[in-house]
Amino acid sequence: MRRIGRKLNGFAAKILDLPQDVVLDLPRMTLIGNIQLYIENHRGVVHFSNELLRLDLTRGQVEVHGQNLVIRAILPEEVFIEGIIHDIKYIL
Amino acid sequence: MRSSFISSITGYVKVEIRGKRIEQLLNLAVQNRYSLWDVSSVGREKSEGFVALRDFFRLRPLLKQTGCRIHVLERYGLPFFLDKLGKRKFFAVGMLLFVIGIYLLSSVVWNVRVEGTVKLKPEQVLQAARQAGIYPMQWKFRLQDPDTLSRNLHTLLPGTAWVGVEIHGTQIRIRVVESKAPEQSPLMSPRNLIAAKNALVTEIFAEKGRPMVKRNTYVRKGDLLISGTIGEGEGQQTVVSQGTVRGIVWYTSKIESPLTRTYKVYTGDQKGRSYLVIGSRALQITGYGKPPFDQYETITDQSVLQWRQFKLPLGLMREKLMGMRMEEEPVDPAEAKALGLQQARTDLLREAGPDARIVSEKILHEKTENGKVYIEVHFEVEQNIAEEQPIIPGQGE
Repeated sequence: MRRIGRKLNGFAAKILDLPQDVVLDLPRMTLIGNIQLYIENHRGVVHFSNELLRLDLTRGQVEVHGQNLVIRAILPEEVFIEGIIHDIKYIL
Repeated sequence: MRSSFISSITGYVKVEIRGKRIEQLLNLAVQNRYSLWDVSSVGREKSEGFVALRDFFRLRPLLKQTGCRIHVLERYGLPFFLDKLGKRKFFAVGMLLFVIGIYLLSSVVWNVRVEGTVKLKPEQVLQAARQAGIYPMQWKFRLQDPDTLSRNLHTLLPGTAWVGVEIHGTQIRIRVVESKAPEQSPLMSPRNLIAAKNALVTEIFAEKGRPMVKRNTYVRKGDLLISGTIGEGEGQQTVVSQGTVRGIVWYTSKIESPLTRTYKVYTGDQKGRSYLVIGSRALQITGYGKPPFDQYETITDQSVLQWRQFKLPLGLMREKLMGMRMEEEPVDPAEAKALGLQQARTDLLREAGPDARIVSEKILHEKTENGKVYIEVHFEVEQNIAEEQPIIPGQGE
């Protein structure tokens, strides 16, 4: 049932040209250089330190590796990080 | 959420968070929509960040929940400033007094200005204004409204058609429009009317004063016509004589009238010149060269450039040179005589003054020689012969 629902979702997304992150509930990340990273649609902070930031997603987690990471702004579903970013990893 | 400007007014603090479950604290705070920003990790279980003051005080239950400790590093914002201010009360009082002082000073009239007086003196207007309650250092709220003030001033000042009162800030402007009084007849001192010339009186009419001569009397220059002293004995009074006395005066005129007449004739030749006028200087543009005719008359036509009402100092001037010639024409002696007589008559009437008329004229003798006609004519002109003579007190008649 869930699969059909999801298939329908994907179908609707393609036909109506809706952004996929809204339909499929995926995070949207805007990376500016290696300095700024803006992540929308997360589900909470798992770990935060100078060199690692781990966020919960709807499905899985994302890890940001870097140096001098600072959370410039944090909102319930968005986070804005600054620092020197080395890696962005998806952990499903 | 971060709106740093509002936060800087409502206040925020820089805090240090210590604990194992900082992330959880973060999640909880964010879920409750607390404002916090610039969070960085400074050690294993140590983080720093900025929190809005309001939310800082609501952190306590969360801290308990996550087992973290919090410590304030720096304070920013108006609430802290006010706290400091509380310790310097006099500063606050000074500020308040300043504001009150400015307000008071601006609700006092500082200046009263009078405009538009021609015959009235400004001091009179100011004095009347003082009576109406307008004077420097008067409280503004004690003044009546401008319409009432205008009316009061208008009543207080005679000779005004309209008085306008305007209050601009701390300045009061009084505008006066004076009424035009009817012309008063000029003052005259007591006087007699005497004869200006030798004449035969034809008419005497005294409005004021006592007439001294009768009609058809021959008077000499200086004779008293209308006397300013009336009454006899004790009832004597000196008045300003007024009236008309007309008489016939004799004139003898000698006239010369030429037998040739010169007059201008346009030859028909024309030449045009145009000048550019800058300020008061004219710069010739076209029409150089001497005109091909000797004698000419110039007709100038000037047009000045304008822009709305302002006259620019720039203009165009056109000159038309019309060639002309003086021609001589012989005149019939009879015509010459007639012309001469005409000239004499006009001259005489001009000299005799208004209301004069020529009663009779007689040609005494005429002769023609040297291309001219010489006539001697005797004119009788009826004109006004009264002249003023002031009565000087102390001198009897």
